[in-house]
Amino acid sequence: MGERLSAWFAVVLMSVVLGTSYWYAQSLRAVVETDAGHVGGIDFFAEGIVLTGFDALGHPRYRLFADRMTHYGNSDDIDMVKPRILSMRPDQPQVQASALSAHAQNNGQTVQMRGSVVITRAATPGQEPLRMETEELSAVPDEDHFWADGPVQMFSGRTTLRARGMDMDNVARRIELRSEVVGVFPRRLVP
Amino acid sequence: MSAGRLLLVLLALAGLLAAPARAERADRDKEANVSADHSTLDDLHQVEVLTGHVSLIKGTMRLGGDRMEHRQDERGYQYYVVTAAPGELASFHERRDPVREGVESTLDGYAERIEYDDRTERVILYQRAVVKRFENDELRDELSGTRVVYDARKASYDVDGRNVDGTGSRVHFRIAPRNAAPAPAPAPATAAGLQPERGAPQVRP
Repeated sequence: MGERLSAWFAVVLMSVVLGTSYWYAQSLRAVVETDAGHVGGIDFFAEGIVLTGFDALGHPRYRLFADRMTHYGNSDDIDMVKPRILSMRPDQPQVQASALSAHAQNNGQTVQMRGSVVITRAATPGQEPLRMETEELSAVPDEDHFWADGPVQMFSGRTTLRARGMDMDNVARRIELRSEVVGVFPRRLVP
Repeated sequence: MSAGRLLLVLLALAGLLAAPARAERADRDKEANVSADHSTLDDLHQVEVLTGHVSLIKGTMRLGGDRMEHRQDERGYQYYVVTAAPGELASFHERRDPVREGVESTLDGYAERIEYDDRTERVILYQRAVVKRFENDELRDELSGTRVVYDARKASYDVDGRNVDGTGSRVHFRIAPRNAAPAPAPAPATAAGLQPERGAPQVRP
């Protein structure tokens, strides 16, 4: 009876070891697949992040929210799931950009946002709120420069414009729609 | 002719070609559909500049040109400035409220630069300006000058033949004869000494 029990114990132990090894091998393979195309492996990831960036004087410049952020060691590339970035410049109206995913290169020097990309600029005295929608958007955050090559929609107050391709200079506060511009200027508010 | 007398004569032309109908009322309350090759929004000053094959359609009103500047004030009034490509003319078209059954009156304007003010409902045509009025597609009136102001509310024109530098004084009119059941045309009583150029050739834009 004692020998039979020992044998069963050995079988269970071996099964656990084999199962654990198999799971570990599968996990490693999944990481390698996720990391495909990146220089260096994942060195960390974080979930439910809120990241605040400061300027040289210690004033908050932007705040970044994301469901998940994955950082790649050697390349300093970052992948984000459901990112949302909020500008916090005191001399500028609040600008917010969000997307389903984003990939930042060289520690955020350039960013590609993909899927339901929305940029909004809050209303200010004398300026209607602004909203832009596209599916893919590139950005150089340090230069406040954003651009899209595909279809874009722009809502400036009650004005709606659609176009193909867009360049937005958030410092000069200029937005260029590159081609195929069509849209609607609203009817006036007073009779 | 002295500059003062010239100015007096030109100002007297205001309302000379008062038309029997005003711009279609329904146009005022319609939104405008626009298209262009390119657009730039100055977000700071809230000015939109459309360029390349610009077209705007607001009810029966149409504006066309190579470049259009658009802005609106806080009450939602729209302002458009349309300019033509070099060597070409910007265009303006609208249908007017009918005053006689079975008669559709339309207006076409051409100039190097056309300004449209939604608040005052005035259209100002600058440089090589030509305005033509049609009834059922038949040309009824035609006038040209360096600057033509069309007041859509009053359905009246103000024509100036002078260039920006003060030179030039030619203002051309062509009024088609009224045949059947004409609408009474207002007499140019104040335009002393000035008559429309009867039989004048088609105005060259």
